[in-house]
Amino acid sequence: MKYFMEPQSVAIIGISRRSGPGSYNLMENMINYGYQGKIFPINPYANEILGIKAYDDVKKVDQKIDLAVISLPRELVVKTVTECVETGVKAIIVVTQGFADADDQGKAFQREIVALARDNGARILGPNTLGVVNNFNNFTTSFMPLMWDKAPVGLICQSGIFFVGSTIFSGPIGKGIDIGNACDIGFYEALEYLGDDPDIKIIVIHMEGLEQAREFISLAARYAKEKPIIAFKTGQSETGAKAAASHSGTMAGHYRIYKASLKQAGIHFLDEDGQMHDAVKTLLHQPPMKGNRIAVITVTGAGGIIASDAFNKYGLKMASLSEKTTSTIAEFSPEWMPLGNPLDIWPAVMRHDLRSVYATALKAVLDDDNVDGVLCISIAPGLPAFGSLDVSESLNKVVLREHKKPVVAWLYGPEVKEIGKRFEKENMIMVYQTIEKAAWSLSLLQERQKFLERANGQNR
Amino acid sequence: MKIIEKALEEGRKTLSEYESKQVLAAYQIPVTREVLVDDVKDLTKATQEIGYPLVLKGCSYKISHKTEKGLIRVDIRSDKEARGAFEEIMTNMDGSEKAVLVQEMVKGKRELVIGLTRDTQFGPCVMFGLGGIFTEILKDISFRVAPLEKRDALEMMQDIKGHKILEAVRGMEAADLDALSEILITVGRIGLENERIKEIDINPVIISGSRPVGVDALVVLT
Repeated sequence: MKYFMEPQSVAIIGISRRSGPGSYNLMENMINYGYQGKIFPINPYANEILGIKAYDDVKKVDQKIDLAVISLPRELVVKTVTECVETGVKAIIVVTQGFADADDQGKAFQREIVALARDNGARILGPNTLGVVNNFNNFTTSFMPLMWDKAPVGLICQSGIFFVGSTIFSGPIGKGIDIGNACDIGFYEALEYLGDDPDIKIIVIHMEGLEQAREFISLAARYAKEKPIIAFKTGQSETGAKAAASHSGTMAGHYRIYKASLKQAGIHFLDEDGQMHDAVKTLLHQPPMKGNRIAVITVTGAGGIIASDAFNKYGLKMASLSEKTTSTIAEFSPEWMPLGNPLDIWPAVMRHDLRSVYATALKAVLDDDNVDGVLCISIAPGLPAFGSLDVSESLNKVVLREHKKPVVAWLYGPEVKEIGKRFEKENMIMVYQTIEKAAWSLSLLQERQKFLERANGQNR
Repeated sequence: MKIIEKALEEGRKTLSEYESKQVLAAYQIPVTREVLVDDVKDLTKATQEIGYPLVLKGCSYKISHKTEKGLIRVDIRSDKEARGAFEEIMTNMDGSEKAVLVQEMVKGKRELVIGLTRDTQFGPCVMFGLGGIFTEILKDISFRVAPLEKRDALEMMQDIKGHKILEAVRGMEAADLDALSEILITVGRIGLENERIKEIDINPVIISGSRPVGVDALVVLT
């Protein structure tokens, strides 16, 4: 995998002479991305491409090639792979579509290139892939422009949309491997690379189908002890499964069995694409949650009730706060205010500053042994007029002192985006679009805890 | 196993209920006490051995849906009833290899299903869920990949929506979760140790008192 992710030299085979917007020029994209290694463009009709000397074919290159990226019509791919392996190239990315993802001819082509690789000790990524992205050394083989970010997030996917659309799906990715049809390099090898990679703290997987499933899950079980692994499996319904079969050529197995076995390995299994973003930021930045008792600090009674309903759905419950906690808040509150959980601190604000009351309440519930996690419901007030209602800084000061229990938040008001950013500034309090999503995220942290307990309690 | 080899030699893809349960019993999975009778002369000896009340079932590897074909008689309490039921079932069955299974009648209102399926990707997977007619209707089932640890077994039972059925409800005892776990783990082991077994269905597993008993079973070969 190192040749794929950290090559010193790359041959780009089937590179267009056109460049600029709309040309999908992979080499131009690679250069713009800041790749520092050598590039050998292969194009028999050009002397040079983007100012770099071009070669007629890969055999003409007189220097070592770590990685070959092939983007040719499928009829030419077998011949080109043959030339690559004869030249001694050990890592080949086949970008081209139309193999096992297409007709019988495509399947035959795919079998041929796999055999060529096996016989010559080379490895193939793809076909039907955008290849790789490694933001830690500014390298990508994608012909689509990507966002650059050294996030500790590793991605393994079977479709380029998770590269190009990462802001929507996983959030920023640091390293990504699109295994495409997974003819040779599959989930196993990709997971092994990201699992061993100290730059990567969390792994996100988009899966259509899985080969070598048993080997994969035992490997995943090993890595899941060290870093959270999240999987989103597509092809749930029968129609979905059919789409998967024609897309990547791998058979989409029984969805329930996928779900059960991936969870059994300690992988967080997502039910829908929209959960990916929340799952990543939650598991990356929040500690596992020891139990299911949640304290809710709110400035609205209704919000507390919504939370209560959501907890019910995700196996969480309202913590019974200790007397110490309630008496701390009682000092601020009017005597008519019944104090419990959800902890409604709004009445206290009649007399005191919201920021200090909220911070005191958060500290009290975090210190409470009856509490495993905290949900903060707060206002995102109009700025700058109502800046005194922005509690983000005060709350961050509390969690900066100690962050052993997860703290999640839901905001309402005109400045949700700005205040949300302020809440998340230290990566310790995470904000969610809905109370329900906040509750789901807490349940994910409890799942993480259970996975860890299980992994440490027994060796599988 | 011998039973499996014999069936394969005969070119069969399924085991009869009797054979299926012998496979399970060889692995110490609790199943109904039963005797296979193909001649009416042996009936009395069998009914005495099992004891009334009992159940008579048509038994052949060719039959899988006994209820629809009128091949089950339950709650038989006398020699006369037994004889009548025997004759009737034998008449209703076609083919030459036919016999009647004389089986203890297991009492219990809670029916579960425990099964095995060999997934092309994940290999042998154990299934647990609500049994009897509810298996097909509610599809309230969960899976785990074999081998199972005790923890997997306990978790997969909690995974089904109707898991409360295992608790002490409506005057019934709580189901013996240790015994159920043992069955789930063992079924996974059978799948791992017998490549030629493609599927197993133990349906229903009836909770009798607190104890699970496999009342009907089917083993499919590959």
